[in-house]
Amino acid sequence: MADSASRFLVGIDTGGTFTDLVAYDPDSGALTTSKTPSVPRHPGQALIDAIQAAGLAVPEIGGLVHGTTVGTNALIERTGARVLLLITAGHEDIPYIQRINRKTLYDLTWQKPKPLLASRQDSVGVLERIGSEGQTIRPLDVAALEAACREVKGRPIEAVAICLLFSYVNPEHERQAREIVERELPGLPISVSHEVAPIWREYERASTTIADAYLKPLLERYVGDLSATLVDAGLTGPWTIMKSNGGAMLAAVAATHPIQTAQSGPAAGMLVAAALGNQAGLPNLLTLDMGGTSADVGIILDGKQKHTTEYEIEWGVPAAIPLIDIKSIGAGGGSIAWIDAGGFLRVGPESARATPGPACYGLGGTRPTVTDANLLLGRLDPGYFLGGRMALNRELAETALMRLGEQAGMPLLDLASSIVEIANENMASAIKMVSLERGHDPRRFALFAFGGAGPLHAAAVARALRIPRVLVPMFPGNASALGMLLADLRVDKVWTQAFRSSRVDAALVAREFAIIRDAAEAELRAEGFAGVPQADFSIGMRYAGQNYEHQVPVSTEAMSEAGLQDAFRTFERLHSERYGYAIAGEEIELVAFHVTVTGRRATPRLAAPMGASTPSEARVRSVYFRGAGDLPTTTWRRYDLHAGTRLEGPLLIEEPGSTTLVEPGMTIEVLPDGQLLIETNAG
Amino acid sequence: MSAELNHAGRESPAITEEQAREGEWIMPTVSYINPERRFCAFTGRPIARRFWQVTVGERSLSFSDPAAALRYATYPKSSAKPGIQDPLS
Amino acid sequence: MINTRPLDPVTLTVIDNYLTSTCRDMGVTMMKTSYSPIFNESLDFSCVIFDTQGQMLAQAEFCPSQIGTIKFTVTWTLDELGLDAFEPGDVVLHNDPYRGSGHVPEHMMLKPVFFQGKLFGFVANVAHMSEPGAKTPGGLSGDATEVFQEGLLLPPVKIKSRGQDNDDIWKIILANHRTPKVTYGDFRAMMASLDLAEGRIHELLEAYGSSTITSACDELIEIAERRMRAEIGAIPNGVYTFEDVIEDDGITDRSYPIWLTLTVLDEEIVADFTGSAPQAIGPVNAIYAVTASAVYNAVLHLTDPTIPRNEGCYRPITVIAPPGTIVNCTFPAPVAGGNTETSPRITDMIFGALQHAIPDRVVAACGGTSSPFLFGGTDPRNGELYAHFHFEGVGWGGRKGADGNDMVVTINGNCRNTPIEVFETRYPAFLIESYRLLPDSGGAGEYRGGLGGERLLTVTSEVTVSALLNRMLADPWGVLQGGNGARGGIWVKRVGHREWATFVDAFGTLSPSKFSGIRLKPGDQVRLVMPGGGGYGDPRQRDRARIAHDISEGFVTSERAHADYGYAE
Repeated sequence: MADSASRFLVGIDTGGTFTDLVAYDPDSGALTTSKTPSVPRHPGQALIDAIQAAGLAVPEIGGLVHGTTVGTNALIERTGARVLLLITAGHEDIPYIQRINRKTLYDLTWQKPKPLLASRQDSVGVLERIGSEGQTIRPLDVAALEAACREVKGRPIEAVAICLLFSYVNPEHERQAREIVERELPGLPISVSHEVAPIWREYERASTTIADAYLKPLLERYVGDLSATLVDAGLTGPWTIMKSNGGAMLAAVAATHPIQTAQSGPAAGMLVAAALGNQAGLPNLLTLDMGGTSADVGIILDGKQKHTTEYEIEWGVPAAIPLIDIKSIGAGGGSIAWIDAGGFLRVGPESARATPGPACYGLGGTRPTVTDANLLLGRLDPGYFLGGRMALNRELAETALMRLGEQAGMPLLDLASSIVEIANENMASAIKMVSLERGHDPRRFALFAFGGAGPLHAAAVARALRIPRVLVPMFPGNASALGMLLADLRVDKVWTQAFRSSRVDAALVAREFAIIRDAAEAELRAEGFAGVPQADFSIGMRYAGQNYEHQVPVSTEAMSEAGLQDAFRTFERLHSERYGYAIAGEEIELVAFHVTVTGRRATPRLAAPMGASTPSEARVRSVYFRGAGDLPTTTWRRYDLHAGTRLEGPLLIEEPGSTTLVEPGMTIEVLPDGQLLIETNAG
Repeated sequence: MSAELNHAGRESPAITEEQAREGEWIMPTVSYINPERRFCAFTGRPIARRFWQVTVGERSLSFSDPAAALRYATYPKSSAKPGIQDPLS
Repeated sequence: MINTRPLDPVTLTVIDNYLTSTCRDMGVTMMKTSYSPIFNESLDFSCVIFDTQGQMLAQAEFCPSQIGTIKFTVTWTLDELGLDAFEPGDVVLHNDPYRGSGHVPEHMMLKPVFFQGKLFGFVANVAHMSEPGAKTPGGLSGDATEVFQEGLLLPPVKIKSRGQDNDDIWKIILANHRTPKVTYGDFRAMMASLDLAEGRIHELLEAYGSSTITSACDELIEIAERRMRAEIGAIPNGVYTFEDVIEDDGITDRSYPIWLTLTVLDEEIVADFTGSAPQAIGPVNAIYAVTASAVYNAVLHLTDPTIPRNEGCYRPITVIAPPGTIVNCTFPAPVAGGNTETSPRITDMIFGALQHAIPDRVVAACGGTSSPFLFGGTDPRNGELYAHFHFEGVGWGGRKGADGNDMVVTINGNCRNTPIEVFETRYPAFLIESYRLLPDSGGAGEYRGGLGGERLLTVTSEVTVSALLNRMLADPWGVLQGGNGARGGIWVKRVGHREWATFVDAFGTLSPSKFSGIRLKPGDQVRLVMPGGGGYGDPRQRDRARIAHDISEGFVTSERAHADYGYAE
């Protein structure tokens, strides 16, 4: 990679509030972390600050992987570019008509979501038509498109999205349209639907393509600024950006595929879960990443994450990008507790966010949050939040909860306990959705808990789901940054073509697999990868007539008749496992052929700093447990503990970014790499 | 068989609350050969099988349940006029 | 107040959420495994959980008309068969409108859930099958005169007994549907959804014990009822009336008025339809369950959406619908359009009746038609038969503070459209030339009605079409001085013709909007127009900036802005 002067591998995760960093020194194996405030106006500065706070200098960095919410935030806050959409004539209103369903029932105040277009006039028709089999029904009218481009020249258009019907079968017209736009509207970034999201369903594809164009100018600026700052500061090597699919790509390339970065932080969290689970000998994990405003849950099977393409910018506005499957719910430390009209206690989804934050932050928040409840129960040390950098105010938390307690007719501790339980239950429900409902029994998993608040709630969540073990990584509050150290370079390619199982040509499939694998490998090499790439192949299959496919892995691209028959049997087994039935002899439709090419990088072995021996004395404080009341609870500083230490709950293990709670009746062990393993005795 | 209510308004005999309470559950067998189609005398709801029968003099009224019979006894006679104006004509 | 309850509110919340999410996940299973686009793209199905008395315990964001109707379908099934008839692993299938089903295409499946040898309750789903074996492909034949023409009628029968398929029932059904493969796949999807729900309820019962769950469910029903009563109590007492009309029935050219007397008395609502027209000869009749469901739908829209959605919500609502009328037809009148057309009409009427009582909460009429357009034929690519129920969105009515939404499915449903790329791939009969919003279709008002739309289709291979539309003759009305929305309709341009014509003119159908079995040839074109929503409030009160925005976005033309709002740029 580099000489020892620039040897550090650094992951930096820039969120809305904090910039988290983890640096790995390959010589010593040591990990260093930092957490500094984000500086949205000067993102480059935030990176430099984070690097300095970790005691590093930029020239010491040999590899940098960056995750950012700049794209996500622009989508949520609607601050992206003004996009011109070119779409098959007659269908200009597709982004407005959408799918015609509504988000909730019985709500007359509901407003249909608006597309990311600034004006309906920015959706412009292209005279052309491709049919469902890829046949040209009407050739593209070049002169008309040129004229349309000239007409919009007066508008402050910043990017162009092109989405033509059936381009996923035949992209020829989209290619032509791009050439014309490049000529007529030079300098504008262009996103083309068959490249951004080669999927059927025109609204979903158009929405994704618009979103990509919407982010392009912003990401180009962001990456440009950051590159300049980093190079000025002495960065010599290339740097990469995390994608939502868990891979990394060169920053300059990421700027041209911006929608791919929308969920990069959570994706990195899933990478670290897989890696540390494997390191601990626990390849099957349910993951719980609980932060300030939300909790993300996911599943790791046999050491691998699950991938999907169902992401929504808001309800009804999809961005169909490959991403690691994560379910996000409004349950975080800042989630607000309230009483609904029926007298039910509810927690979230509204959050006090970073400002004003929970009442106990003393920043003006007055509504009770999960963090306030945790503080009152004795589960958080008011003097050791963020390692003592932020004092928590118990009285303010109490005032906030008292008010709610009067409304609910509940005593304070009972209420605090109920708030935590409801938050836990919400998380447990989300975990059920990614496990039980997909046929995975939580009792056969370990719960991997991270994020600032995850380790505090994990024991109870695991107990509720009868999950026997909880694994808490080192630096759980910086886990996404840690995950970025693990990101391989990854390129996904898809060939969309439909076949029936009775009429599929194995030789043709083999040929196309080879073509897309070559293309993916070429991209990987362009990103600076010099090693031997790994290629994984799968085929999207469904029964002929179904509309949603399953990914069926195939071992090689050299498809033979026998290989196809094996794949069909695998499909039937998967269908049966998930839905309880297979239809014998039914035709199977093959609809998409996927290749994922991975450029593996040396994976650092992650280890936490540890004390030489576990101290003989620890502090004790009183913590409230439902049913047991106040119990004297030992609290340890995490990195004072040494490997092999076994302790019995109740106890608290504190570190600057997080607190791990071990309930009465549970035991905890410090693993050789410094991870914490809780036995819940609940299986 | 004739319905106990028709679109022109309620023509069935009014009953007292006491009569409504003094009905009895009837549980006919379901026949596919000679199907019986009954409606609740109060709401018009088709009755699947079991019904609450209230007898007033010569006439028997069928209700979905005793609650419907009770409400029938107290609900004001419809004020709607038959043959209302057709807005399209 | 919370502490006095036998079960703590945390447990109640957890159980309520669990049951609701179970319903939701039943839906996901159906979407992912089903065959027909009406399932997997349009999501025209609903999933619910019931107790042994047929009380609804939970529902999710499905089609409101189905959710309201399935109450009746399930209670009928339990009443007719008796609880003793159920054994573990049974699945009952049922679609007979004269036994409580909404209309013939809607098939209900019901599975008992046993726990420790005892019947706990039922999981059920209801779904619109794209092909019910009616007189024309896809059913909803716009000129049917008897329910027998609307598809194969199935009283509650066991399609599975103790986990085993009843092959004879399967054979009868598959022999009667034009597309047996699709029916088979969709039925399997429904069963997979029931199995999933059964498993999840077992998990819940194992975790809490069945007596806790039963009392939690009773408690949740009581809470829902109490809250619903309080909400109704906040509506001013009074007797409110409203009238609307079903414009024709596909057979005769007479219209069918619906007359509503709505009584709000303290904490109860009575919707009395006495005075409505006698039942129609054609298929626009609502059965009682559909009428009741439409009333429930309206009341749920006017009350707090956070009330747990269970049986308790419905208890304070009484529906009186005289047998033999368009709102409670008697055997064997055809009923297909009652569920798609008459249902939204009834729901809107409740809003219309209450516009002066609760002006801040009502909405003007939506476009009020599902625009059912049915077609089928032989796929020239493989010789297989196909059939499809195509429907559309409409403009929704304006409401206090906001314009109506453009092109959303009518208030009785919550389905999605079929993407053009799915539509043309599955059905070789048409090329979709355009699909767009229609400017000026929203009724004028302080808050404008939402826009309707237009779809143009060119026939690419011979196809048989049917339709059952409304609002081609009668306007979607505004409220509180708001203007009416534009009407919709269907027209045809046959090969060699230059003008659009109604189906009456082109093919001699009895009604321009309701017909069946018309054969179209390649090159023929069909134009579907979806009505707009009614306006809310006096157009003269409309914010000038909103009008300017409407013009610049092309939602309203300058001419109409001038005519309707007195607006000059």
